[in-house]
Parts: sequence; structure tokens; C-alpha cells
Amino acid sequence: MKEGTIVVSDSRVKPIFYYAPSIAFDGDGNIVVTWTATGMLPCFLEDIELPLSVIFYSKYDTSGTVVSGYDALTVGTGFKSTVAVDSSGNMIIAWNRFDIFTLKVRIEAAIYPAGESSSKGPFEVGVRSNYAPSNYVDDGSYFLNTGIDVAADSEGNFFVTWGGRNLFSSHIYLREIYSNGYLSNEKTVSQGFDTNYGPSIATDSRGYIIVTWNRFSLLNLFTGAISVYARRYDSNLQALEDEFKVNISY
Amino acid sequence: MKRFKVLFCRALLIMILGFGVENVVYANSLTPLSLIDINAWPAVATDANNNVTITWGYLGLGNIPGILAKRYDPDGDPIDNIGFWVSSPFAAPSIFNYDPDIATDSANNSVITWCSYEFSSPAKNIQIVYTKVAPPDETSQTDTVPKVIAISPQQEDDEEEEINLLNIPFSPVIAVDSSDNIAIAWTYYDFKSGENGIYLVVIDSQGTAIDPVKIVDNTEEST
Repeated sequence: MKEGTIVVSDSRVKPIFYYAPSIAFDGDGNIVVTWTATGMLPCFLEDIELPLSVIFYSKYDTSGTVVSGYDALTVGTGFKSTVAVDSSGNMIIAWNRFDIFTLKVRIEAAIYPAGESSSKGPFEVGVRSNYAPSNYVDDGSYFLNTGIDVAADSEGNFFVTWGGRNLFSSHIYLREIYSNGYLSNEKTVSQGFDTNYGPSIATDSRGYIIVTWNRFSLLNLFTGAISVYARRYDSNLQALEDEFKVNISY
Repeated sequence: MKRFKVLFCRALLIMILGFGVENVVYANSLTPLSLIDINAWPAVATDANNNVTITWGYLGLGNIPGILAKRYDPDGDPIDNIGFWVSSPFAAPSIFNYDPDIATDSANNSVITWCSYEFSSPAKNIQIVYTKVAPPDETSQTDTVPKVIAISPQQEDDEEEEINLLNIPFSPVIAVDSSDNIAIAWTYYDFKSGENGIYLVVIDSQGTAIDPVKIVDNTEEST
């Protein structure tokens, strides 16, 4: 049998689904992995399991050994987290939350200062001592704010991009979380009237930002009905040009 | 006989999927012949020289589902006229590929990971693979496909082992540190057993991978 072969026999599976990992190296050279667990999970009272969706993160060294245990970031309705670390070691994790009061899927985020030492955990869901609900990153104008990606620049600022959708509107948005914690205005990245979703973001050494995303357009049926677009911004969040199509029409 | 049937089916599948693709596909000279294209899962990374690489999954009529990439210089001008194959083209063993992610190492290589089902033995299931694409100035005239390395758990290297396409990996994500250690995590789900979880693997700068670590799963005994 080859090394790395995983054989699980006679095992029972729990009604939990683990998915949507995101990964980054922190300032200490450890690997941060965040993911979502959705299913029957322990709630405040350990003996009771309820249908919940919870974000976790954990840190590992390069041998794959856990260096800090699970830390549950949300209670109940969080999903699809993503992580980035800046050059100083500050870490952001952003995630979706279904807001049961407005019936909207919103975006929350937490910033962890460099060097913050996590306990060896695992933490219990919802009883983390310094847990506080995040302010929303999105401004609440859209019912669905999904497909989050985050990046950091060399100045300690973080950038969050996502797809925001209402009944007749589907665009890509961008927002900066400044190093002092304040938020920029929301920028609409995509142009036109098509369906835009699934963005990815990166920054360069100048602080320039590039966002790429998917677009579905029946107008492009014969040149790529589902295409990849991109748009660049400078460090002041000013667009450098209009959006452009990455894949050509074949 | 059983193995012959499997090989025949594989050959048939690759012929069907590959119909319409040019016999030789070179980087920077991709000319698929499809009319309806699906370009999905874009991911972007920058290098220390402020070049940009965007990678995505591609499916078009007459083409094997593959991974493409396109590079831009610091001014936003495309280095590649059109996308180039990151995954193996028609002549190589991979027959479908999806869900890429990208990072950059200290040598400005784009390090790209994705899910791949290889045609060749011993892969009996869909694998998580990665490759490195050299920076633009070194590869702009290159016409070779980068070497692709599988890093997810392999099934037994046994000729009698059945092909298992029910154990599906997806959502691979990648990060690279300043020492060029590569970390890749992904989700897996086994439709047969219902087992699900997340793996982590680390590849050092010499290309040596640790055994994949199952960081979380839904089996009873793992709690």
C-alpha cells in the first residue's frame, strides 16, 4: 500500500459536512486553515446538537502538526470563510452569515493582530472568551453577498471582494478595510448588466489590486457564455481601466 | 479481461472528449475549436515584479476539460495573447481538470493546484495536483506543458483495484511561504460511504511532500 493511503473501514459518519477550506501562512510561518462545518453540531449546551453552520480555523506547522486548536468564529449561520495574512502577520478571516432578521446573506470579518497567541483549544462553539460579532462588511443593499475573497497589501490594509445579488442586479463589489479598522466605500467592480459571481483578488507590491471573476452572459453565447473578466485598481481604490475579458473568444 | 475493458473505456472517453482538439497544443498557441465555452473558477496571483497570472477552468465542445492561465505585465498588458494550458493537453494523460487555485513563490513561479483525473496508472481516482509555471521572461517562448505532480492520497497500486470516481476532491486552495513551502488544503466527499473532510499537505522547497494530513472528517472515531 502506498504511503498516504487512507483506509477507513467499519466507520460511521456523522451528519456533518466539512467544506470550503481557505489557507494562508501567518507571520510565524504557520499554516492557517479555515473551513465550514454544516450539520448537527454541539450548541451552547454541550449535550445538545442542533443544525448549525459554523466557521473554524486552526493553525499547523509545516509538518502538519496542529499548533493551535479549533476556534469557532460564528455561532449557527456562518459559512464559506476565507483568510489572508499581511506582511506584518496580521490576519483577516471573512465569512458569510445568513442574517435571520433580514433574510440576507451578509459578510462578516475578524482581524487578528500578529503574534496573538491562541490557546491550544479546541474552543467550544460560541463560548470563546473574546468573541464579539463583527460589523458587516457589505452595506446591506443586496440579498446575497457571496463568493468572498480577501487579500492584504503591504501597508496593513485588507481588501474584500464578493458577488452581491438582488433580483435584477448581480455585480462584483470591492471594499477596503483600512489598517485602523475603518471601511472604505463599496466599489462596484463589474460593469454592464450580466450575471457576475465568484471573484478572486490579489495585490502587488505597489498596492495595486486586481479582481477577476466569472460572468454569465447569453450575449456571449458563441464567444464564451461563461467568461472570466478582470479589473485593476490603484492603491487609492481608483479603477485603472474598465473591466476586460481574460479569456478570448475562440 | 476486466482491465482490458477499463482501458478500452478510457481510450474511448479520451477520444470523444478530445475530438476537435489539435494534435499538439503548445503554450501560448492554444487554438481550441469550440463554439460554446465555459470558463469557470478564476483565481489570480501577482509576483514580486508585479506581473499578474490568472488561471481558470475551461470546458468547450470538443475539448478536454482543462486548466488555462494567462499572464499580464505590470501595466496590465497581456503577455500571452490567449490562455495557455496549465493542465496536460490532449497528448498527455489527464482527461479532466477543474477548480484551480494559484499562489506565487519567491522565484516568481506561479504555483497552481487543481483537481485532475489522470489517464495513466496508477491513478484510480481524482487527484489533487499542482504545478509551477515559470515567470514570463523565462517561458514566453516555451512550448512545453509544466510537469504536473499529484499530492493527494493515492489508492492502492494494484491492477485489480477498481477505478473509484465516487470519492471526489474539490475546492483545493494553496499558499506559499517565504521559504517556498507550499501548503494545499482541499475538501473530499465519498458518495459511497458518505465520508467527508478536509486534507492538508505541505510540500517543501525541494518538492518533498509530507503525507496528507486529514485535519477534520465526519467519521465517528475521529472526534
